[in-house]
Amino acid sequence: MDLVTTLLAKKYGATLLELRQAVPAYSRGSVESSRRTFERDKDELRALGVPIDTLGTLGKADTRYAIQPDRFYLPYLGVVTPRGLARPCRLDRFGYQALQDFDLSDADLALLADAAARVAECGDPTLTDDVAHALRKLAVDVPPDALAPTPGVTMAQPSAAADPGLLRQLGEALVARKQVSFTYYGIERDETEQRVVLPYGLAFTSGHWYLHALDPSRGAVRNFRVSRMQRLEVNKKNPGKHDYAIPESFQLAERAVPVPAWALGEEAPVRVEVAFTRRTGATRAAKGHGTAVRGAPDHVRYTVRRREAFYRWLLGLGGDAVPLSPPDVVRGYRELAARTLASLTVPA
Amino acid sequence: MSTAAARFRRLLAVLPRFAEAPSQSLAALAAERGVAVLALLEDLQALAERYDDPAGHVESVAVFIDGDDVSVRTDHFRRPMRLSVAELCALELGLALLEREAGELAAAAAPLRRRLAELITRLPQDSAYDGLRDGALTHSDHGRALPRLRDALRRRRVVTIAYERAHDEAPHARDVRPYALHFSSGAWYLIAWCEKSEGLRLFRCDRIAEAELTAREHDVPDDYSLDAVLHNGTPFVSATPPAPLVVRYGPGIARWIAERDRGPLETDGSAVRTMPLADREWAIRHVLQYGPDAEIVSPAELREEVVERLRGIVGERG
Repeated sequence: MDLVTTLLAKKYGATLLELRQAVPAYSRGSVESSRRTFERDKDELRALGVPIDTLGTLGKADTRYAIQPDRFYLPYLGVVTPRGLARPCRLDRFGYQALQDFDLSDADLALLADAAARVAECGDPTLTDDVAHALRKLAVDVPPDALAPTPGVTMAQPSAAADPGLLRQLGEALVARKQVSFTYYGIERDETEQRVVLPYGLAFTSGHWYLHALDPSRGAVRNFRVSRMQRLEVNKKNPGKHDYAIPESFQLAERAVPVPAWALGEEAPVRVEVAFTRRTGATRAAKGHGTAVRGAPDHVRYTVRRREAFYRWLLGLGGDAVPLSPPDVVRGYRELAARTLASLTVPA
Repeated sequence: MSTAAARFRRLLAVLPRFAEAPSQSLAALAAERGVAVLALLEDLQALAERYDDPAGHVESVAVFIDGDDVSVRTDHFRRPMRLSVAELCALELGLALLEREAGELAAAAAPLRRRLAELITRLPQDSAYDGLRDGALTHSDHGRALPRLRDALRRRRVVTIAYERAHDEAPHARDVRPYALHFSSGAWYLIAWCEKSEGLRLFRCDRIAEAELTAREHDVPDDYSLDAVLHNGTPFVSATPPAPLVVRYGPGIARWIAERDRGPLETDGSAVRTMPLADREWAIRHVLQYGPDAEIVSPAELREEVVERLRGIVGERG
């Protein structure tokens, strides 16, 4: 706090020597120990978003450090409503005059409030903290109800929710680009095994957190449901240095969207044409996962990787959709239906 | 984040309040900031009690704690700090979640995201935060009615919806009074009073083809509670007491069921679950999606309906 105050008060910044005179914590001990303390504080403050600028050549005795108030303080937030623009009172002295205006509409603020509420329900304590702090900053200038979320909107927490402590650790490992290891329960094989991966991103998909990470032993990016992880260890070697870089070709946005189970996996994709025999709420939703066939309004094409999962999904439509091609998919679907029928009709 | 950094962050959130009035109630300030009074007091005391300061240093912030009130004098921190990149990224995740469930929000959310980026001061290390978190709750555009439903909840308005039940061949219009929106098991549900059926009803939002606000306002009754409509975390509403549906899930899929509901497994690795049966068509589709790995144990006539449906699919009928 003293360092930030001192730098805000000094228009042209301060050298380390001047900071030793102004900041109690730097006045004790040797210059070298003060420098180390200052460097650690500077890094921590910058990580919090405090814009400490370095003026001159780094590490020289005359190097100056400065914080420009207009880069440090939030601009004045105006609210645009159908009734007009409401601006907060401006402070008339010190560095506050330099602050600019920044206008948002009441609809923008409502959207932000809902966005923050949604994030707060995701179960990641770091994100919950971050959105709460962000809203409190914005709330200084706007009426409290402008940043109130829509009442009555809630998200069920899954029974097997991700451990908040793990999410915090993974978030820190991601920013620091550190390798992580953990035990992972692979539910398909019903086995638990040790994994060592390089985290690329965390996605909250369909109500569950997934870590998307490069698995060097498989040479591919895999996703891991965080609730199935245990005993997470973040690589402690070389603190402050990145273990890896996330390739630019990796786009988390492309992987964060839910897709049907039959569209996942490494199997070669097959194009399947399906005819819908009834129009219902369920079939309308199912059609949305494929593309319409020109000239046949009730036919839809799907790109399928996992055939067995597709047959089951289709069977779940209760006979209101039937595959038309290719023939092996038609056969596979009918075989599944026959096996299911047999399982229900075989005498006990 | 270190303890000192977390304290610094909390103080920067509190101090701008003293620009309005130099003296404030500790309790009110703590409540408004969402922190415990004791935690706030400790933060402020850390600023106020600086016994180890060498003489001659100028006090940066003067804090006076007097019983239930606190006053702060400082030339600095009378405005909040700009957003940090971490705070911006957290808000962006929330906007992405909203945008992905209702494509029409993209027109509002995308420019808002760009504008929010102006509220941080970009620092060199900020690039380490880019693109690390993302998400989507539903398949794209499954919640296209959600923006209007949220608007209706905010404004306490009755909504006309075109709703297509799982087995309906066309949407049916009805006026409903929205009480809540709840996300569960991959879908959004609207819990509302249906004026057509004169009862509390549940609507899957991806089956709401259209939603239009009316000019009529309504109040959510005091005795409404979300807990009363949840069955094992999933919303469930029935006009009449539902019959029990018993399903056996085979060992091939039972562990997914057990992971989802934290219920027990049988000794052979299967799982048996009892749930309320309100919609027979839903129950048939529910077990069919698991193929031979799920079967209805009871009611027996519903199991027979599944068999008949399968006979139709494999061509054993007619």
